[in-house]
Amino acid sequence: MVSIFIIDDEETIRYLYQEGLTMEGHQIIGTAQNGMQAIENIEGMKSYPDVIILDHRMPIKNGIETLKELRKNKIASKSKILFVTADPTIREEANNLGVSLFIQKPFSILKLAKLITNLFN
Amino acid sequence: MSDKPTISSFEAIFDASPMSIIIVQDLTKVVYCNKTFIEVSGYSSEDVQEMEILDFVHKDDIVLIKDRQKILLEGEEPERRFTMRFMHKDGSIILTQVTGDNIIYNGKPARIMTGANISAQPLSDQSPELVSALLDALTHHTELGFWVDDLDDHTMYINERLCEVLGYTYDEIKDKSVTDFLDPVSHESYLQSIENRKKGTPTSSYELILIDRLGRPNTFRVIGSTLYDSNNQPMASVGFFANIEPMKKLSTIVSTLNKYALYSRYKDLSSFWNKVVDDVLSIFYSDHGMVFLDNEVLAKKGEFALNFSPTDVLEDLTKKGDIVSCLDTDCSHFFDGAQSVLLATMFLNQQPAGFILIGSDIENLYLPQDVDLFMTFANQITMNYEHHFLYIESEEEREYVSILLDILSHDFLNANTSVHGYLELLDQGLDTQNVEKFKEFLSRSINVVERSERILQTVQQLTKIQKERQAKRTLPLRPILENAIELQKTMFYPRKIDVTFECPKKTNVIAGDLLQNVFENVINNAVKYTEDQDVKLDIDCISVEIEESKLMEIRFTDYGMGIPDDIKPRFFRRLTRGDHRFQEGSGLGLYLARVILDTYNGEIRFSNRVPDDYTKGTVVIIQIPEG
Repeated sequence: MVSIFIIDDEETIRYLYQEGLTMEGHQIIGTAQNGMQAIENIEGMKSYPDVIILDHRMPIKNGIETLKELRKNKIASKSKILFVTADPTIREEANNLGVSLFIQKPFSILKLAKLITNLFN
Repeated sequence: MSDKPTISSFEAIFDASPMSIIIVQDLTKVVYCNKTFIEVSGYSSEDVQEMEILDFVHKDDIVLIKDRQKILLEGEEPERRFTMRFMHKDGSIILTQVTGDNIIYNGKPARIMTGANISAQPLSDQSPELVSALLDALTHHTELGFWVDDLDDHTMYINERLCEVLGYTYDEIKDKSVTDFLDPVSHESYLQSIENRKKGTPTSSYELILIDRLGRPNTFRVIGSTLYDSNNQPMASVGFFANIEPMKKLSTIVSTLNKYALYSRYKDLSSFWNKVVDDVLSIFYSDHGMVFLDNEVLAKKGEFALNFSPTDVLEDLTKKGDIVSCLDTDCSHFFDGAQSVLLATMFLNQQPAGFILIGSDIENLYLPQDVDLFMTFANQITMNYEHHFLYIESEEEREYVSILLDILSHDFLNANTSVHGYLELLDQGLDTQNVEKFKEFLSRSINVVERSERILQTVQQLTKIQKERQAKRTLPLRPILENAIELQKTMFYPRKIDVTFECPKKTNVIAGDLLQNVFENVINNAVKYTEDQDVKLDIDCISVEIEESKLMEIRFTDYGMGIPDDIKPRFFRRLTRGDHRFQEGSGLGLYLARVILDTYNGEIRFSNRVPDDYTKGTVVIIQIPEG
């Protein structure tokens, strides 16, 4: 069972992750609608999530900015970051910041769930 | 001893005279000449005896001599003293002052003529008529002005062309000097040139500005030269005046037009056109000016007649098909005392759309070349203006295309991801007993599809914005706000939106159909940025006056999580692909609001509900011109 933290500003997408990934047997340990909220929440956790699903386009702090913050707070080194975006032009920047997987929208929630499983097998 | 002495009695005296003396009989035949004449003419006494008087006269002065002969034949007496050009044997010209008298020579009537060589005399000592006649002949066909003065700045001669440029007759100008016409700017350099002339080191080329009869400055390039007497002493100064005013005007027009390339220097279009009118009045020394374009007087200097209708003028120009008119007469209907008017049609999209008019109460103020210069100015400025707007339009189009691409590549992909995901989950074969979950997935899918529809509507609105500018009219504010509130309440149900609303009933604004969309976006944003399930929102409207403009200020105060101060301005900025870092959802809401308000000459900005603490909520302030 993989523990997952979801960062996405759209509630419908957060719910989709929650349902789809739970169906595969993963555990959602928290969600946030922007990067700032996410960092506060994760820092308050006793143990960091195995996976952080990070959307790029969000208010307050976007995915790349949140990623930099996660690295600064050493969270990124403890969790695998799955970076999700519709914009392929930021792939290189995201990879350079150490993301584990760059996932381009649109994607299949079930395939994503399997991908996470495989990531830990 | 005869009663009268014969000429031979005086030959010794005549030969001792420094003057040339000849005796002519039968009007033309030279029957006697003294030694001085032989010396001065270069001919021998034998040669002279074979010659006639006209053989010694310059061809251009033959008419003068023949006229005198005609007078004598009629039994009249011509003027005793006259000046002519005497031809030396070697072809050189000797300017000679001649005195003629009737005598009896060898028993027959004869004419004795005494000539003085005045070629070497200082110009100022010679007959003014002669000097003028000579100089007129020399300078008549030139476009150059020609001014001769003595070394003390007294005018000795000025040619017709220069009189014409300065707008005076010769008689009016002859007793004046160059300094009487000098623009103060040129005074010092002219005095310096006089000093240099006296020293014998003239300034060969310099610039002078002379004021003409109408008070207009005329710039001349002057090529100066000094005349010397036979003793090599400076005796007069000659100046060739090339009128470079038209060139200077053209150069000013070009540099002025170049300055207009940067529209951003001007606060607004009105200040731009006011500057244009100021400049064109200064270039053409006029005092009345107007720019009429797109059915609007954009700038005006001076009072125009009450019955003067720019629309009629444009109509008239359009009918005539003229691109420029120079009206020096019959222009009194433009303004009181109008004597000269220049009018140039302005074309937008190759259609007459307005005009630039300048005028003055001075008669015949404009020169023929001014018409072309004025037309060039008007054409160029219109083209600059048109290009400026084409550029803005193309930038806007580019922005729209960019937004559309962004919507396609992000918002629709996001929506597809959601719907695809929920359908996948349904396809997984959910426990059919779990009806609630089943309904939830279906409901969410429908919501996402509905949101996609709203995004499409936004795209449609974007395409309408161009037309929105023309659709502006007076609208009642209160019902528009009420509709927006009600729609948002429905949209966010079951979340509760508690709105405190204060807006006077009879409040009007000048806006278009998309105003409600702006309010909806702002309310939508306030709800999204409030974490609590129940949302509190205060909306109030007040009338404000800013720089003499009456505006209606609508303030939306929320109690949500707020927006950091450094991020606030970024909400309204132009969107580019992948630059939606601070936008929520479709990413278009507040940007769209700003674009729409721009078309209404309105504004939108953020402020904190509690000063210096953004976390206590946000105030969105919208200002729109009051109707």
